[in-house]
Amino acid sequence: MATSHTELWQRATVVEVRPVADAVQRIVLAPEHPVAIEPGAHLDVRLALGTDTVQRSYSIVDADISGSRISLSVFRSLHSRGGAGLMHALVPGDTLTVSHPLQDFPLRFGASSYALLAGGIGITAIAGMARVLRDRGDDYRLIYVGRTRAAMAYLDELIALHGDRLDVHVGDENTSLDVRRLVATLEPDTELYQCGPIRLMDAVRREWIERELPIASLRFETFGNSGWFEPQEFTVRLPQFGIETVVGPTQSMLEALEAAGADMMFDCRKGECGLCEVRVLELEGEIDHRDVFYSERQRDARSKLCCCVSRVARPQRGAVVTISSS
Amino acid sequence: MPAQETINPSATVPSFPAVERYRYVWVWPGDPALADPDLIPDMHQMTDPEWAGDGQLIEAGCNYQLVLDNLMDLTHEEFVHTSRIGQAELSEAEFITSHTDTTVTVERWMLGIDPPPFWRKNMRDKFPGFEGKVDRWQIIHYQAPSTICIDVGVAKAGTGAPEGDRSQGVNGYVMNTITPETDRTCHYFWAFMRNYCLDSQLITTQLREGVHRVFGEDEAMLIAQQEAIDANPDYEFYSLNIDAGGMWVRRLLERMLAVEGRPPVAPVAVD
Repeated sequence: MATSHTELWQRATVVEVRPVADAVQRIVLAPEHPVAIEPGAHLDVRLALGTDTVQRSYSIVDADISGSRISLSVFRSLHSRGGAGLMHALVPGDTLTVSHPLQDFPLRFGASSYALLAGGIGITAIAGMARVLRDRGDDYRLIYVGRTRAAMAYLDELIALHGDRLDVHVGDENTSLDVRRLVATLEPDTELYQCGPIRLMDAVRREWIERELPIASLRFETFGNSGWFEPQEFTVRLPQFGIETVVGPTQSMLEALEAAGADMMFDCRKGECGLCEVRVLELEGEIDHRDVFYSERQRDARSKLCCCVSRVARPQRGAVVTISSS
Repeated sequence: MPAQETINPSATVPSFPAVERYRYVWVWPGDPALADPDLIPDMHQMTDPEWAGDGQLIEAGCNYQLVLDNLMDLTHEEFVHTSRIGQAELSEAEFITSHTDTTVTVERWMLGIDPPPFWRKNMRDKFPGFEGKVDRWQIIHYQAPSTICIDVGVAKAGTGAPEGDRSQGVNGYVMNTITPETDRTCHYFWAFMRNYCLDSQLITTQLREGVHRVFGEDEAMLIAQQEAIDANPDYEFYSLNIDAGGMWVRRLLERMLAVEGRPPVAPVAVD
């Protein structure tokens, strides 16, 4: 299926807001140019953060049939990069600049069975897929993982809609997901669609590879905003251009390098294509790989990183990374 | 003029600055005041006595940028040229891309591999009866706007080629310079130069004919690519990490065009 990355921008009006879980706000938008929404689609949103305009991606949780009402759900963590706070402050009548619906996580029809795995706010990308598979009468399981029930958006609605097909795993109820067991019990021709924290998705990917399941049957989406460390300020040096700059906690390394005048190559800006790859010459700290471009083996090498999403971190003292670029 | 001693003053034709260098004629069709021979890309292997070889012209049915894209990503050899120079190690090897305002370089080394048929033959020309593993290199040198010279070769594995000692190997230079003709056609000049067995016309002919067959495979792919682009004008290119070299070439070209106040020329269909 062809995916579209050409962004056409439009205005959208906020028509409804309400909390749907701890720190999760449901925001219903009326876009200027409605189009029907496919499961897996997302919107990019442009937000004014201080003097900068930042761009954030949010999955579309549900929409009416014409796409004239589109619902997002935004999780605001303690370490949100700033965009979530602005989204939570929206009230009905506000307007904002959004893309037309973008599709990087298409649901392929025709698999003999499906497993849909959502971790935390990742349910926003998965809920629509589950609804479509249910309506089609396909064989699917929905696995929803969270820390506490109160933090799991749409839990009651999902239980009502999917019944026995839904498995709920809650950290503080000691029913955490056993990823190895999940992957081991899948039929070999199952397609698995997952969205959630990178630790969860990496664990599934490792088991998937270990079990030698077809890699094309493991589908996932990431907006590059989930890491192994909390985002913190660090210093990046690019000696070939004589650049040293500080990367703020709400900023990507690529954004900071561009702001400092570096001529950087990039394309997807979400940790998928690998074009923004830089070589690590020196490192004081740990690399926090947030991309889906490298294999496990390549990550272990610590010699390269995708600067559009990945960061470096060091407890107490600020991390410093010295790189070379193409 | 026959039967007259004068020349009619209005019997004129346009003239263009031209320089003959490296076995090519370099013509400036634009503002003659800007014609600067120092801007001719370095293709000295074409005339240097240390090198020997020959080439051909392909009248390619595609935009010239597609030729540049193809040459900047030699992993295509694994898929387009399976029989003679392709091998799986091409896609598995690390590569390093770098650039300046007018050049882009992509360097790749494959160490301790079996030579594909084309390179085994070349090794045996210099080292009769050669058997064994080789270290293979491909160093792509793009010079703006549309010249790509590719330093290619193999050496006996572990004899120091990556460190600079290529004495135990064979070295070729694939010389490519492309003149745009229309937005869907170009003149693709190429030659294959070598720095061993310089006196052998047999080897010159074998290499030219061998590369001719390889480039025929590229030409078929390039024409199909142009047709696919024409048939799907709104379809977006999906770029991968391996496209870094080609993406830098496109970015440098766009900047050069912008400096001249011209819009970027993309290989898109025009009705």
